[in-house]
Order: sequence, then structure tokens, then C-alpha cells
Amino acid sequence: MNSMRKKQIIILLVFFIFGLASYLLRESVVIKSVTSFFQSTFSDARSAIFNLKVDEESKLLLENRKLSEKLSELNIMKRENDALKSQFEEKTTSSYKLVPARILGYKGRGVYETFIIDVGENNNVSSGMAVVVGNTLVGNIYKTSQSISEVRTILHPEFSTIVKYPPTNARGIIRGFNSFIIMDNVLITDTLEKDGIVVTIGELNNVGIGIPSNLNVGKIDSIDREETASFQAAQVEPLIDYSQISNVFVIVAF
Amino acid sequence: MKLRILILFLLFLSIFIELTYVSFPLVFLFSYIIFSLEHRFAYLIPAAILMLIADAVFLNPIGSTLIFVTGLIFLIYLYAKYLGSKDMLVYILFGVLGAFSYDIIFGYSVEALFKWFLLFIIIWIVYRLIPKKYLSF
Repeated sequence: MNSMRKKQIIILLVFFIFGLASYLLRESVVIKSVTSFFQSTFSDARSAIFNLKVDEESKLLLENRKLSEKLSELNIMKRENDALKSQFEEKTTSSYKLVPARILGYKGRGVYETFIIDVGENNNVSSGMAVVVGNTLVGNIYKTSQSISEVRTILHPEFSTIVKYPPTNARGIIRGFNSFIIMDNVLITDTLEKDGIVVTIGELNNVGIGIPSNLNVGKIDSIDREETASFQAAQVEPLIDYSQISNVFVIVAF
Repeated sequence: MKLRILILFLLFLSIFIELTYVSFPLVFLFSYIIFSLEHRFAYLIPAAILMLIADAVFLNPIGSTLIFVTGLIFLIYLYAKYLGSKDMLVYILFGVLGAFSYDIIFGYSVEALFKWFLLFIIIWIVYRLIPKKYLSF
């Protein structure tokens, strides 16, 4: 009985050491190549299974998003005409270098905080890059490996970026709250309007990777404003139904 | 033997199901079951390889699931050695706590605590209903 227990512990120890060795050597070329092989081998099958669950984005939702994008573009153009053109140079996704990606699956339960896509370092994707659908921000790249990447959506509690409401130029910070997003730190003197579309201001790191300006983020759903406070906040509804998307684009250069 | 092969097959299947249809640590659970039931290399090697594949495709640090599961079984051995109990409930309790920790570490959801607690209550009720003679390993 005792020798049997010893044998079991030795077997377990062998596997523990094997796991520990894989973990410690995870940055080595051999482990990276093996990981990449597994990821690319399993990507197609997982994507096919995921697509069985998520049909193509419904026509109505697509139309809704396009109309919201049009509204936002019109607001931006109006603003451009009113202000100095040089200060508010706008761009559309057509000028970005995009890498198409398929969603392989979501992480998190019932909420769409994190998902995995089938592109990685081999496709020039690196962490911090913006992920979009049309001209709407979906999230940004959080982690990458050679052939797959993890995306944090705008609903993720640790996601934040600077945004503005173009008609009044009210600025604030957008933060995820699992199932909704909040535009916070907006000066009380600025004006926000219900159903208005907020867009990104743009954030870049020192190597030029980040979120470009004027990507749609969401529609203002409600405004929390107290005259005695210094700042106001708004609840923003995402323009994308995360349960309906199966393909996204990564902005690798702009 | 058939049960072990079935669990290995379920472990393989859960790599595709987890994060596409259900966001539940199925890979962890099936790995834990096979490592609790089996002590032969013939079954454990494929299970360990499937755990490495799961880590790779879920973008978790490679080897972390294997370390987690074997570490948990070690804790059960230590518990059995010093407290003498080798009851099935110990395996279930460690499994539930382990799955909960795994959830938190690998960012499944913060709602996990409530769900795992609920699951443990259900298992506890089922455990009370099963006759004692069927409950030891």
C-alpha cells in the first residue's frame, strides 16, 4: 500500500516537473514553435465551431450600426467646418492598414469582456493595437502569441480610453463595467446629449501603436449630472452586439 | 478503462467547447478527474498533452493547468497523509476550490465565487444522499 502511494507520488511529481519546465521555458523557441503549431492546428476547427453558434451579423443590426456611424461622421464633419481644419483632421478606417481576424471564442461568463482571434505576431499584430468592426471600436489587443491574440473589449473593467462627444467637444474617459460602459470625468461645464455618439480622441504609445482618433465607441444612453459636482458622467451603450460578431479587424498601422 | 477513455475524449472535446459554447473550465475539471482516478502513464501522458494544448489555445501560460492540477492532487495527498481522510468529499471539495481559484487566476469571471459555492452545495446534498460504502477511493 505504502509503495503504491510512493509510486503515485513519483508519477505526479514527474508531471508536475514537466508542467513546471514547460512553464519556465515558455519563451524558448522550441516551446513557442510547439505552441504556435497547436494554435494554428486548432484555430480552424474552433472557428468553425464558434461560427455554428454565431450566425452572420443580422441585417438589422448591421444597418443600425451603419446609421450610427453615418450620424457620427456627419457630426464630425459639421464640427470640422466650424473649427479650424488643421486642428481637427479626421480619418476613416479606409486609411488604416487592417488585418482581418476571426473570433475563436470568448472568455468570461455571459459578458463579452475578452475574446481570442486567429491572428498574432506572425501577422504583425502586437499588444495595444485597436480592434474594430467598420468604424466602430471593439477593443484592443491585450496579449499576443505567434498565431493568436487576446482582445479586451470596451466592456472589460480594465479597458479605458479618452473619448469626446464631437458636437460639443466634451471630453471624458470611457471605462468598461462588464455589461455597459461609462464616460467619466466630463467637465460639468461641457454638454452631453442623449443618443449622441462618442468617438475616440486617439492614444498612441512611444512606438506609434494604439487607438486612432474618431472611431465610434457608443451611444449616450443616460447622463448623470449634478450641478454642484465638478464632473459629470454618462452611461454609454456599445454600438456592437458582441453576441453577433464573428469577424473583426485589427488596425496595425495608421 | 472505458470510463478513463471517455474522460480523455471529453477532455479533448472540451478544448473546442470551452470558450466557444460554454465559458466554463471544462479542461481543468476533466484533467482533475483523470488525475484523481488514474495513476498510469498510458492515460496521464495524453491528458498532460491535452492540457498543454488547452493552455496554448486559450493563451494561458503553457504548463499552468498541468501545474495547477498536479499541485491540487499533491494537496489532497498531504491532507490524506496528515488528517487520514480519503473520502470522496475531500476530492470534491478540493476540486471545487481548485476550479474556483483557476477561474479567478485565468480571468473567467468574478461571479465565479457564487456559482462555485452553489455547485458545492448541490454536490454536498447529492453526497449526503449517496450511501457511505460507495464514497471512498
